[in-house]
Amino acid sequence: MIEIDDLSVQFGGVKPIDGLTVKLTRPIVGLIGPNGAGKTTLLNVLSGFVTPTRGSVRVDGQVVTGVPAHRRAALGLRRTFQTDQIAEDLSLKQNVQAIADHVHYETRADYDKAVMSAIDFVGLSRRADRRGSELSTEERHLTEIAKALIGRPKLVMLDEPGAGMSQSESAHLVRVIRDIPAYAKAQVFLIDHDVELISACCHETMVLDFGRLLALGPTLDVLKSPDVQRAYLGSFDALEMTV
Amino acid sequence: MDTLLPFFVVGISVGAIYALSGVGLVVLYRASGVVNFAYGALGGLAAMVCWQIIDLEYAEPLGWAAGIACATLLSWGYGRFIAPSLTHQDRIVRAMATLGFALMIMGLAQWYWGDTPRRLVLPGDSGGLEFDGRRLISHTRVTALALAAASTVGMLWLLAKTPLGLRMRALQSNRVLSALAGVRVKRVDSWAWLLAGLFAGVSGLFMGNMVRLNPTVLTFLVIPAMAAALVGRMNSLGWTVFGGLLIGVVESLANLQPGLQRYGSATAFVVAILAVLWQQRRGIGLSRDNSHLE
Amino acid sequence: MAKKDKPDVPPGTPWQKVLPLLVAFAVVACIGPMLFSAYWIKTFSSVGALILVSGTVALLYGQLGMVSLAQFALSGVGGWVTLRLVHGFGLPFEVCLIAGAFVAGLFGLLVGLPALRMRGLYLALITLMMAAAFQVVVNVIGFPDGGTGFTGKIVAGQRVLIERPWIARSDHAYFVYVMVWSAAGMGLIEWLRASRAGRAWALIRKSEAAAIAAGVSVVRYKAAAFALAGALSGLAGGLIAGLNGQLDNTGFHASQSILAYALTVVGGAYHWMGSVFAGLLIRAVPALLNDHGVDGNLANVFFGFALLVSLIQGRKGLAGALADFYKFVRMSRIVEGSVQWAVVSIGLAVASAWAGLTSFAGALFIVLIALLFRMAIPTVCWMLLGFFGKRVQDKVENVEGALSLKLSQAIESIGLVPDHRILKRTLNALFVGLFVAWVAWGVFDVPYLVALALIWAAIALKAAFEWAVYPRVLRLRQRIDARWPKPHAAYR
Repeated sequence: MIEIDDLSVQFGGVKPIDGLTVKLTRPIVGLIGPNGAGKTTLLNVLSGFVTPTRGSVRVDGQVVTGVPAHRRAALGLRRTFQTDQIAEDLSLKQNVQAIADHVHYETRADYDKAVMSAIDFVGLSRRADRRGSELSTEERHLTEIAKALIGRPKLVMLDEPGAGMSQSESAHLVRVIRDIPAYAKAQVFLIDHDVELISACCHETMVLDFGRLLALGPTLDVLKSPDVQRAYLGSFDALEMTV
Repeated sequence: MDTLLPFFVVGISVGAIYALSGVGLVVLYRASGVVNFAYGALGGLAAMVCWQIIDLEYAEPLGWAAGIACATLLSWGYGRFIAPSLTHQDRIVRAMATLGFALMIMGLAQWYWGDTPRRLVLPGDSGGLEFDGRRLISHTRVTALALAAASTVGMLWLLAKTPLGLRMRALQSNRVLSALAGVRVKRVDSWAWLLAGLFAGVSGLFMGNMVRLNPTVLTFLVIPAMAAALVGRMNSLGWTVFGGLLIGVVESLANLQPGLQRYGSATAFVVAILAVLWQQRRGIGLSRDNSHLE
Repeated sequence: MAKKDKPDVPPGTPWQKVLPLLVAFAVVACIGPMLFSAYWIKTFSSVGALILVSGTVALLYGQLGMVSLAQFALSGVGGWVTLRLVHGFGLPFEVCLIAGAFVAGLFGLLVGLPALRMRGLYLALITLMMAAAFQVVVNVIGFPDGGTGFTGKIVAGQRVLIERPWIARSDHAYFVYVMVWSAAGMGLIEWLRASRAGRAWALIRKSEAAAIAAGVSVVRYKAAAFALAGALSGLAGGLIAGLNGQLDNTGFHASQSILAYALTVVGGAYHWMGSVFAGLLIRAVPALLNDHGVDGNLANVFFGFALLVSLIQGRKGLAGALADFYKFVRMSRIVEGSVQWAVVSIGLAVASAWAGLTSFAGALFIVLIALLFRMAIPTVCWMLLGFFGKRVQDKVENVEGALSLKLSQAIESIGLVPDHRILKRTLNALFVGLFVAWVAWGVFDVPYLVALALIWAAIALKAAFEWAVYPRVLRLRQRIDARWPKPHAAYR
């Protein structure tokens, strides 16, 4: 559960987030909004790269604002980035190991199991020993997700995980994302422009516009709301929701 | 106070030469994103060619022109033929490539001219400005000072008021977008390298006059120039000039204190290190595209 | 479950990565004293230390993407401390060596401090400033040579040289000593690279933000890298001090630090073999040139050129080119070629020793060097051509292909089966013979014509051997290729 209380961020004259108060409780939460609406800034606040000017954020009851970015992973907050962060010279497995290296495991066997489990979960065990530079776009994004599942996270934040993927690849991604809460016992916070991805995965969706909350609720309701459509979507009649 | 003045004045005049070099470096960096390690080597070559021409009994102005032309031509050539092969690589690689260029020029010059002590005499050396009956600075140094001021103003005018300057600033801002918007990247780059070569040549002559006429020594005078440029955070011409003058003055004042005297030539480095540490004091933050820290 | 894809990065323990390095160093340490003359054994001793310096540059640049132009200056720091302690306190050499490394590590940390807060290019400039500052300081205070006071400099009188450790008094023994330390240092770097630290560094290199988000302490890992790089450079400096008994401030000019970086890139910053090449280039090439009266400054021209070409090609230096060779050539060719070369070289070496022309080891070494050059020279030429642009490269390749075709057709018309690259191979063989014979004459004092004959005989015999057995080994080749497929190799 994410509780955001009167959050404001100001950079000079720009106010990407303005007095945001919201409680996100569903297993998979989506965040959409036009560019410049403050989505990435909110993600940066959650992951510790941006300090808010006002307000606080609590994850599962624990206050996270004020915790430096490099300690958030230990608190159980993990995120992916828009541009992929795969080390080219390491294999896929080594990339995931690089994350697992900084989590405490009782034995070596636990460590190995955790790494392979995450790789299996995203469906890449066949490619585990492939060099990073050899991986396709889809595989890179999936590896990023695997990395974010290491270490018993409480909150997994995905930043445009489907960028550059084809239709069939997106279907696999949807299956993976929808299985995350059951696999990792973590909440998923999904930011994307791809409305179909959002509607296929997310139980509830939040819409930001100019740093303010425009809508929050069950995904289909939100996507069909006239305010949202006016601000962001255009008309969106024939949309199927499968959650 | 009176005892300080001569040192101060000498320092300013020496600093002017550093400032002149620094301005050339910064203009090139702004326009092309390349830190030119070959700057000193080009200057050194200009000084050696100039000396050679004069040594062969030709007219002095011919020597100066030949030296400056050499540096300008080589710099332009590098920018036109070699730098384009590197544009897709990151800044460090492009800067290190100029290091390779510098090694080549330095090696050739050192091989051809060797370590024989030489002096580059410029006409302004004989006369000078007096103060209290003592000769303070030679006409050469005054000319250097004037040139530094004039060229800085000239560059500022170029960047602010001319179409070429506008395109240079566009490239600095965002190369790819500028190219898409129709800026002739290669042409603007060539101009930037040409100007840099011009600056290198002129400052090389003054450096050769001021310091030893030795290719290796002159090549490494790029370091004080970089120090000045770092004070200007590789961007502001005004601060670069200030940096150069500051380095010159501190170096000169170091001569006052007997213990520090021999360390004088390390001034540039200390100033640069302190300047960068100060500039970076706020530390790093997330970049625009969230991919790295800067 | 689908079968696993063939690994690109074979999983292996760090030990498996370090072992080849240790074996290679051990082999050289054993053979070296047998082969090299007195002058060259000292040269190769300093090469050994320089390999370590280059290794630290490669660690910072290849692993972390950080350019440090101050590494050689840091070895000067280490050497200074070693000398001072030996002169001042008479402690055992090893203790002073370690102390020098420790102090250099601290200075390395100092160098790295700015790195924690700034972008790569600024770091390069700052380290350059530091190297230049060191040059000034060392020019003023000099290296300790037996005097008193903090600087330990003798004001008037004879300089004192430090003594080598008692287990390594002779030149040959000291060579092995240096090799052992160098292997240990390089081995440590390689071991770290293959373990958790290397993964963390790779992660930091790609994206510091991602590393932070993953809970990796970027500050700690970067600082550790700089401290380690400084310490190992300092160790190398102490070893050089021990080699000559003293250090000369002219040897620690800022240009040395720059060259250390430049040649690490040329040799290859992503593999330990690259550091070996770099060490050889830094020290052995100028020595070779000096031997024959060629001005050392031309070496700088060559190095600058090589750096430019390496960077333009974007490749991973010489070591990378060799790695590509292994990746892109069929296993059967590698196996077959190795066997043939082994037979030919040993056979010729035996014959040459029996006929009294050269020693067995000498002849073997010459043939093997010729082989190395034979593989490297086409790549180097290609790189040099690339310097002029892709169009020139393509044009030359077309011309060469056309001429080669004509030559092949001519050979076919007289009933022989030609190699499709006959022109390239012939020119390569001619050049390699002439060049390597010159090297052999310079380094091993082998008569030029003897070396030339040896090399050309080796190449010709190998070609004949290959031609003779070709039909018989076809099946064997196919089986080898099936057993060890190379997905990227061309099966022409």
